[in-house]
Amino acid sequence: MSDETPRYDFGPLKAKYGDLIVIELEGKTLAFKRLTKAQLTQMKTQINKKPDLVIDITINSCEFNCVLGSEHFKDLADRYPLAFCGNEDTKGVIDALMDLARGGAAGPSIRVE
Amino acid sequence: MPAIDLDDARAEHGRLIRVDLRGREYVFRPMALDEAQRVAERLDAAPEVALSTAIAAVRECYLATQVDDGYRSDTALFEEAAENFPLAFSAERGVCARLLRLASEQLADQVKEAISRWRGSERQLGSIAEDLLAFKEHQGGQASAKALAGALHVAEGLDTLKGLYKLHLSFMRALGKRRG
Repeated sequence: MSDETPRYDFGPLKAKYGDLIVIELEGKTLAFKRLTKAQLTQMKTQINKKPDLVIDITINSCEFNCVLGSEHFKDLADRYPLAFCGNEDTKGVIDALMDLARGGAAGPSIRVE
Repeated sequence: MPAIDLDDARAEHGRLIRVDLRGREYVFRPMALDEAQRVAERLDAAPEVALSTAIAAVRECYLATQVDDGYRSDTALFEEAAENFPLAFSAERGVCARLLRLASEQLADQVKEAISRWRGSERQLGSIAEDLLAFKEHQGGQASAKALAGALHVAEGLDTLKGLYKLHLSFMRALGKRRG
């Protein structure tokens, strides 16, 4: 018998949501769908209004977009908030979601001819 | 969904902006100066909807998307990309930022050209007033060479608070002389 945790089949989720951000924390797998334009706009508006609540706002965005393992989200976010909201030194789930919305960490390749 | 010939498009618009996003290419025309100005104003006026403003601005410049057999103008493909990768088109690090920067570079070139034409001309108070009026015209979206030169001259004056004060004073005096 193998000790390895059986890998989750993300096929149906990918078919439904497209690219996913998948993390594993304390042996629990969580998957997040991409942020929409409206969500990004709303998040920015909220952060502009209440910059002191940036951690809560970004974690809420992660929670809203959690499509797998959401039953573990609150507990994990409570214990490991930086895993989700990140900080200057460490990227969190929200940074990965932002990179996804940018088309990759480096963003699009643009050339002028 | 008409097919687009990139050579024809380049001939029409001068330059093309080609964006590779996840292996698919999207082609845009440069943003006109008055367009860029309007977009910049909207971005300043309503930062909370900056992303939507940026995407709308980029949509206006959209020309074509790479498909199997060439390039096609299909806004549905652009909308799909904007929905999937909205930040790729943002005014911060995305396509909109690049289009605005290109317009800004074009503006700077035009200003230099206008300044070189004006070099040697007398810069009296009356001409400063004209600069300010031209700048006002420039703010309204008319980017004539004279307006752009005026904009640059005013911008130089606005560089410091003292400069702003002096410029304002000159303007008021010049208007007083005109009226008097």
